[in-house]
Amino acid sequence: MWELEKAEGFENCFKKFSKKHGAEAMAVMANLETFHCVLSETNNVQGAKLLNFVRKEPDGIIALDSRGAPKEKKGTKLKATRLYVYAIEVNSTLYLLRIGDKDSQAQDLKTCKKMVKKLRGACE
Amino acid sequence: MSKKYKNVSDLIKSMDLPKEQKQEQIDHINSRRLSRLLTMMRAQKGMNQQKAAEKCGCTQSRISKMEYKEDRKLTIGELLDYSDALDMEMSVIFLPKKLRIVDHVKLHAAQIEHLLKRLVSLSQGDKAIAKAVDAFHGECLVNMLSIIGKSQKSLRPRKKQVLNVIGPQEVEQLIEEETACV
Repeated sequence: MWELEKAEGFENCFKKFSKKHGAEAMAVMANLETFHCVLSETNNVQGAKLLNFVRKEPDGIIALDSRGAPKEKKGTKLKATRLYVYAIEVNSTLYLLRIGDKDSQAQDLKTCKKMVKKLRGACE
Repeated sequence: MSKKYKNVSDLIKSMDLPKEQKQEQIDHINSRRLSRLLTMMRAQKGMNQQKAAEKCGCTQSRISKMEYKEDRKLTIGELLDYSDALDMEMSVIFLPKKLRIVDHVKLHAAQIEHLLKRLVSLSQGDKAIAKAVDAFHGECLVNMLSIIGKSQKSLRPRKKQVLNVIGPQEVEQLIEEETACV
C-alpha cells in the first residue's frame, strides 16, 4: 500500500492555488487519487506513469494534469494545471511537491528538483 | 517532513482549508469511484486506452470520457462495453445501506455455500466430476481454516521471547561460582 506525504511548503502552495483555481485543484486531486489507487493496486510506478493524465518530467518527477475538471463557467477559462509528485519505492511513499499552472511551470520544476535532491539524500 | 496519509481524502481533511472547500473536493473524488475503478482495472491488465478502444470497438476518446465521467452519468451500456473490452463480466449487486463488515463476511459465506451446492448438483451422476468436487471441498476447507486462523492469530498479542545469551566458558564459570556463593 502506497502512502501520501506532503513535502515542505506544499500545503501553503496548494492553499494559494486552490483559492484562485478551485475547479482545477479539485480535478488534479481526483487524478491524484486515481494515480495513488493504481500505484497501490499494481505497485508499478512505470505502469502508473502510462495513465493519460500523467506527464514525465526530469529527475523522475511526475506531473499530474487537470484532465476531467468540471466544466468551466461562462467567462472563465480553466488553467492548465500540474501537480508535481515524486514516488520513492523504498518506503512506498508518494511525495506531493508542488502545484502550479503553465505560467509557473519553469519555477515549479526548479523548486521540485531541489526537493527531490533533498528527498533522495534523506532516503539514502 | 509531515505525516503520511492512506488516501487523498484523508490528506485533504488534514489541510488548513475552508470546511466547504474540503467537502467539495472530497465529494468530487467520491463522485468518480466507479470510473476510477475502470481505470484501475485497465491498468492492472497493462492495457492502454487505445488497446481498450480497439477491443471495445470504439474510439480512444470514448474510453477516456468514460474514465472521467461522474458515476451518476455512466450508463449500464458503457459499463458493459468497458467490461467486454477488458474480457470481464459485469455483475450488479444491491446491498442494504450501512452494511457492517461482519455482514459482508456473512454475505460471502452464504455465497460460498450457494456455489458449493451448485458444484455438488453439477457432479451428480458423474463420478469423475464428483471426485474433483470432493477434492475441491477439501481444498476449500484447508484454505478457509487457514485464512480464519491467521486472522484470529493476528488479534492475540505476541508472546515475548526470552533471549538466551551464552558467554565464553570462563565467564559462565564465574557466574556459576557467584550464584553458588549467594
